[in-house]
Amino acid sequence: MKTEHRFAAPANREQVWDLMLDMPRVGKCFPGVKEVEADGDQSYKGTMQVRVGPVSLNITGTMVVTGMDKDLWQATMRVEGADRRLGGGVTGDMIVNLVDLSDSETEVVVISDISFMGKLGELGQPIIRKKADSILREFADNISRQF
Amino acid sequence: MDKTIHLKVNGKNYDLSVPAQRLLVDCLRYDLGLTGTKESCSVGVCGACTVLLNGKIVASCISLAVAADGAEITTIEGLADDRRLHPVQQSFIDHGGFQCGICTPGQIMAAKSLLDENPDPTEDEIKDWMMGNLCRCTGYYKILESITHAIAEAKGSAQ
Amino acid sequence: MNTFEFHTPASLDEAYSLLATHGDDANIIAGGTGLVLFMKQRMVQPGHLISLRSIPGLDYIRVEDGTAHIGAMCTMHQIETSPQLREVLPLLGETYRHVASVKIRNMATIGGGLSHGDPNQDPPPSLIALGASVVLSSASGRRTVPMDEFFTDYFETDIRDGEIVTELEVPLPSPKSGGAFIKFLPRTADDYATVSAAAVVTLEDGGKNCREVRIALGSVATTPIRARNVEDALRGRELTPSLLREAADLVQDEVDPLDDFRGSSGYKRQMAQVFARRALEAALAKVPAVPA
Repeated sequence: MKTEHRFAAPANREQVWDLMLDMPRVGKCFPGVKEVEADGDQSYKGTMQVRVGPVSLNITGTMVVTGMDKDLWQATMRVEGADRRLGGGVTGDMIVNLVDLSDSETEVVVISDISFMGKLGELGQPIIRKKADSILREFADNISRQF
Repeated sequence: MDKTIHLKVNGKNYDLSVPAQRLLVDCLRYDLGLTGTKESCSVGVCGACTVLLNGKIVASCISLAVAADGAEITTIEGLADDRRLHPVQQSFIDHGGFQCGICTPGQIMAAKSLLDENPDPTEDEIKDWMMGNLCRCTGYYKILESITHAIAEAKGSAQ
Repeated sequence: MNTFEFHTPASLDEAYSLLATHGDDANIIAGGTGLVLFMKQRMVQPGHLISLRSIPGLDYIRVEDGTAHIGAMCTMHQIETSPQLREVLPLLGETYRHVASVKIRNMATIGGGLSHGDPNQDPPPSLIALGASVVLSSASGRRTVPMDEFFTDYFETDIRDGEIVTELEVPLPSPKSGGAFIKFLPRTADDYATVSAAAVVTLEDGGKNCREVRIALGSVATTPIRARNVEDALRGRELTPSLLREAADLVQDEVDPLDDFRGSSGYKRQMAQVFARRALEAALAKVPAVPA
């Protein structure tokens, strides 16, 4: 499932870039993320609690930063996670771009291509898409609060 | 996790130890050997597993046996009085209310329960009530006919 | 299905303490028609089920002080066939009659259905239109939540940790009002609606103008919705056929349907307009005529 979300962060591009380098802090801006810790170079592991409709998942997984290009103001990452108990999981690639809006505002563009498996997949794409929208909205609010 | 439950099925008392996740339909079929009740869709839609629980029809395929603890249950095996079939059973035979027979125990339990609650239903009321019992053979006309005749019979004998 | 421990508390207090002990690993079970299905599909795998069936006194119907108080453990068939409710709140029975089939309505309870939070269910639109509220009880007391604020997201409700739905409160409608529930069912009679709509219209005493109106729809968003913009367009005005049509069309701004096998989002949006109009027309037609 491909999604694209955009939001404006209340800081200049340099400040937003610096925040992006701090993965544990960025990770915790996702609603439901419990902990994020470094697991090798540019690799992080963490847990996330997500509820989609009747299904409540505790996802354990890793996120690997696959690219950081400050010239392009672009970071790419790969996430993989699974819930062992219910049998469901996600894998996906994300591209984050920072666009200069003004001295005090930066647009964050998050493009993701995520696959859902198991119980999550059974719920169907329309509802997952709605959930992804609400997660990203909350993420945007939390990011804005970091400045 | 096993739990001890007490059921009164077709007038007989049973004390059983069942796993908590045991479905009522499985308990009837496998623990008590009452295989008249069928399981078909397994999601409470088709009506094949219909039984009476404290006099009301329920879908035994989405009922937990532990939740029925202490209840009185009637299955198709409990309808005939000694050697005489229940009037609804007899009517299904007389009027060709079944072909393959898988849905029949559920159809008959549902029809019996309709007559218990509403002894003189209109055709629309019969259709409305029987809507939760699917049949892939008869096309329903014969089922409707069987029930209508059972009602007429009951009214005739009451007079 | 995974195994679990089945608890049969004898009182609500016992149920609260079981909820407190087992927390997220526990689910409340009433009739089980929703939960057992989810468990069979392994969508939900609780370690503990706390049954409310063993608690006496939760299946009452009392009408007093202009309000119907309905115990959460009343079955849907009980509501459908209650002579008392048919007299004072005919819309309730007319609505619950549409849920699945008799064998399901004999099992499913009022409180269980609401707790399930399924946006496709029949009762919520009518309950919102009637101005009903849910009573949530817990060890620390009880609170009342209006039906139009109870559903928060797809299969999610305002029920907080430790709370149990214990009662439904429905105010009796004014004698100058009429209510209707209609369900668009293009597939089978026991299916969930493609779109459903309920409306309650109250006219001014001795007049033709609309004093109050509430309209709500099901299956058109991640929760049942109340179409306040439609209500605003009607309140205080004479309900002519053209005004009803005009107002019902506004519903498209309130709905956000999910695509599924019952129809695309766009189709359901259009049907929402059609069924909102029909529900309003049917409700208006049920307002008792002014005695000559």
